[in-house]
Amino acid sequence: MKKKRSLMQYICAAPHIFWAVLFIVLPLIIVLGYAFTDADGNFSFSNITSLTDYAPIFGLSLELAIIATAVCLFIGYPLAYFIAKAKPRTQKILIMLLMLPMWTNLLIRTYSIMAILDDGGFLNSLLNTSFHIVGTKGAVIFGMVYDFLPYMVLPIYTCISKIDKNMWEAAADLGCSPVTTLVKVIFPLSMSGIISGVTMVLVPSISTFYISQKLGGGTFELIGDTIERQFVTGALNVGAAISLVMMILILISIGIMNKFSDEDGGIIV
Amino acid sequence: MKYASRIYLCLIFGILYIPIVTLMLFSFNAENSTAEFTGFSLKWYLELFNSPETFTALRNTLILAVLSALLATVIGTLAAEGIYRMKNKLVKSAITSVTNIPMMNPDIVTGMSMMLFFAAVMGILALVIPNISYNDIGFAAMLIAHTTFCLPYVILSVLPRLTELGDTMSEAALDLGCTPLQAFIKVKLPNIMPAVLSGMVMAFTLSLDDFVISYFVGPSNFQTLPLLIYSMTKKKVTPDMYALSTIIIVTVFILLIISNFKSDKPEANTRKKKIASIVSLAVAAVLIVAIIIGSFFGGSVVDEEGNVTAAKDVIVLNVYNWGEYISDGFDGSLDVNKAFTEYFNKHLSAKYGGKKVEINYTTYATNEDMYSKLSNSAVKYDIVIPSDYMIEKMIAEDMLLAFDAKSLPNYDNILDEFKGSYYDENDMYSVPYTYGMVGIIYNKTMVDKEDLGSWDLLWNDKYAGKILQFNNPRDAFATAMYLDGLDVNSKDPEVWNRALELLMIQKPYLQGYVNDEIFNKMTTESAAIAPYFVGDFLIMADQEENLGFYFPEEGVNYFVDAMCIPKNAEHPEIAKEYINFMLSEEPAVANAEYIGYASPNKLVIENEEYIEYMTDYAYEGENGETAYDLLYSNNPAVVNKAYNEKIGSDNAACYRNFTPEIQSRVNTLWENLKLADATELWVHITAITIVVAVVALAVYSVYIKKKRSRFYRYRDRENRKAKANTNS
Repeated sequence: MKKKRSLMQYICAAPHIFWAVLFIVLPLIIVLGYAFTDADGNFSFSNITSLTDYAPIFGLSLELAIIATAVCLFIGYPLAYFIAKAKPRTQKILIMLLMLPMWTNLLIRTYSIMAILDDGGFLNSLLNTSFHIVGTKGAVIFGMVYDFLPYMVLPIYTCISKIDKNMWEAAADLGCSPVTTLVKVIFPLSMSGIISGVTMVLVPSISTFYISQKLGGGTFELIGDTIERQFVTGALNVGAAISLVMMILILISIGIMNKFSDEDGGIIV
Repeated sequence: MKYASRIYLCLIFGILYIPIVTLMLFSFNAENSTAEFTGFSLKWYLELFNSPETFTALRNTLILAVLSALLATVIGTLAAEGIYRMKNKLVKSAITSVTNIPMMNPDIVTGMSMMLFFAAVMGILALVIPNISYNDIGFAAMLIAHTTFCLPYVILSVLPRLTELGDTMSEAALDLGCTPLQAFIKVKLPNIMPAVLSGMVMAFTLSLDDFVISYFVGPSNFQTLPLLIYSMTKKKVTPDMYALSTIIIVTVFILLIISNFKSDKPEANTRKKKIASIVSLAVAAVLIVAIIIGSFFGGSVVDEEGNVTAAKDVIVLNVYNWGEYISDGFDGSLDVNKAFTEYFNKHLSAKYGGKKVEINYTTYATNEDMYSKLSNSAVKYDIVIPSDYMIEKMIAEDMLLAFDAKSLPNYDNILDEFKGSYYDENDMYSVPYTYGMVGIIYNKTMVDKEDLGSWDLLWNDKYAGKILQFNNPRDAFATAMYLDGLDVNSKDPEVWNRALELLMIQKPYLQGYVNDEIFNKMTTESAAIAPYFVGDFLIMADQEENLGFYFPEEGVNYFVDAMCIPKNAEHPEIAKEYINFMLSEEPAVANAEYIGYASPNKLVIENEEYIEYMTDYAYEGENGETAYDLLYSNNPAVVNKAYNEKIGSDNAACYRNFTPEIQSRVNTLWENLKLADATELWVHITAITIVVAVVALAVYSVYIKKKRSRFYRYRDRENRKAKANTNS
């Protein structure tokens, strides 16, 4: 029987392994190839060395993504907590309401935000004011938070709702106020949710190009815009080099983040 | 606490729904505006249902989502089982890490890697099958790409459920005489089904919503909804996209309510739940059937008599044009593409062996978009409509077919001054479609009359925060170069540095760098001043009466867009028929009225209906000029006289193709411009504070952990000591 099992294991995973090697690993190797060659196909480091020019763009993208992620966490954690504490029926409805906007395409949602916040947009024409919002960094951060908030709330909510109800009671019995319970018990236990939420918001925020195009007014460029522009102007080698570096940076930071969550997902506060 | 939580939930959900509710509201707007609600109307819903482009995109999106979700579910579920059973920890973690790459990677990197991969695949395939085009493998490429990024989500959903389930059940089944396969199908699968289904739904949603990866991988003949929306939002979202979103949201909402339908009585619960799940399954099934029927008809053509021609007798003509650059039947105008198919199928079909024609019409937003699509991904188009300098470049790179434009019967309709242009001196490659000039659009109520006349309006600090600039290097640099009398085609880096200096001076006065967002920003009076094309200005003037326009005295860019046939076109003969048809009176007039750019076609300019249309157009210049005057009495040679003399060429103001050195130089300067003052202090401070706080928290947690483990060690030691003492 042992033999049958080990055979089965490979048969089951075989299509996936084949798929992963062909369509995940191989394309990345090709990116690597492009990053280290020039336009004529000769080996060269010039793309990698030219990346220093893009360091400020990298920095700005990272900063905006970090701020957006922090805001998402700040808004999203209480939201997830309140949803998890609601009655089961209400929970279901609230989660549904949270997911519903995601059925509108991200592009349309972002465009709609732009139409509302623009200098002569819906908000300003309604209030008869002239706030300048679109074109600022704040607007880009708002767009990121708006578009990616559900990605933060859902994992945290799943994590909190899985916490044993006895934990809450035990904490209360041992003299914790609701706030202390939240800080000392619930928050550490939901750390794995927070980490996956942070990852799911940080990664798309760093690489977005649509949000910055529409809400940033084009006065500055994020790294996603740079890659897109390289792609459009046909400078594939530089684009590949930027993609490569971005990928490595993100994988490293995800690795570091995962280091801080234990097997059972608890970071101790 | 309870009230606080309620208020908080209401507040956040309120903000979350404002954009959604607004877009629903504007989908009923009487006018083509997403900022001002003028009255209730259903016309955008009608427009939506009359748009075959939208329906094809919707169908494509659904087919792709269903297939890639199914494929990902089958492969992913099997993989989860395989990974679960793996004993070798190293192999196991290697496989899970690789699997997670598409989930962790930014979409843009996955998209880029997929695009390069399929380009390489095309390179290999071209060796085996000489005439293959990217369109032939385009659907497969999209399916593979979508399945790949959906896979990790399926595995992530199924694997924990398998671990939770454990081996006891399947071992019992094996002991009772099941084969491993039977044990898997009969025992395990039903138990993990909820996780499999939720993985599938997740994959379906992800595929449905994906834009970035499709943007990089997508072929010309398979447009999905997000791609269509993207090409539309580059111009201006018309409320019909809002209408589509409203329909989708309401449908999903109803489906969710049905599937969550639940009675409070426990005994009725199971039955009602069953009914509910049957209903939602039925709805899903109907949807899928509709897709299959839709895709069946998609491959064939129904002619007027209702005869269905089989797909193999249909020639698909791939037309790749600028967005909003053809009369499409909106508001009772002529649908030019439809008119061509009807004309062809009636009169020309016999000439081409009884075959019918069908047009696959896709759009691009810039010359560069079109060029990269054509040169990178081996996509095949039959018709493209590039601008002059791009034609020059494409001829130089041997990308265009020398079909001899003079040989077309209708070529005589083109005015003589547009024949033998500098980019195509022998009229071998191109037939002019429209022409136009750049000028400055201003808002009459916001800009003083005495400030008009020159390019320096864009540098006038009086209007700081109300000025827009082009968001592409070529046009933006040109505004500075005309202002300073520099050669827009200069090969001297110093000239470009000087232009950059001017743009740097201008940057603080700008509201933003924008392309087609100009439509929205000028018609809603968000901005007061913007450089743009005269044809597009007329469209804006129709919507906002306060807008004015002038050609700056220093000289302006003058361009021609012309119809060309790419060298790798699959149906060059039919493409010629198409071009010839576009030159005939009715379609040319319809296009000229729809697009708003000047026409190089004699029949159009002399057409009475057209002259009347343009004279009555909702525009009046400062001196009472009509739209017709604006388009046709401002001869480019006269407007640019001073500039041409200064630079010393007849076509000095026209863009010429850059050398690669200048191109990369301009790109670098453009990046410098974007980087200037890009970061603000508060961004630095906030980001650094957050990072410091997170690091402090992490260090603190490590410290506490160490302290606690030290305490536990100490306690254990003490316990052991105490035990030893009592034992002795």
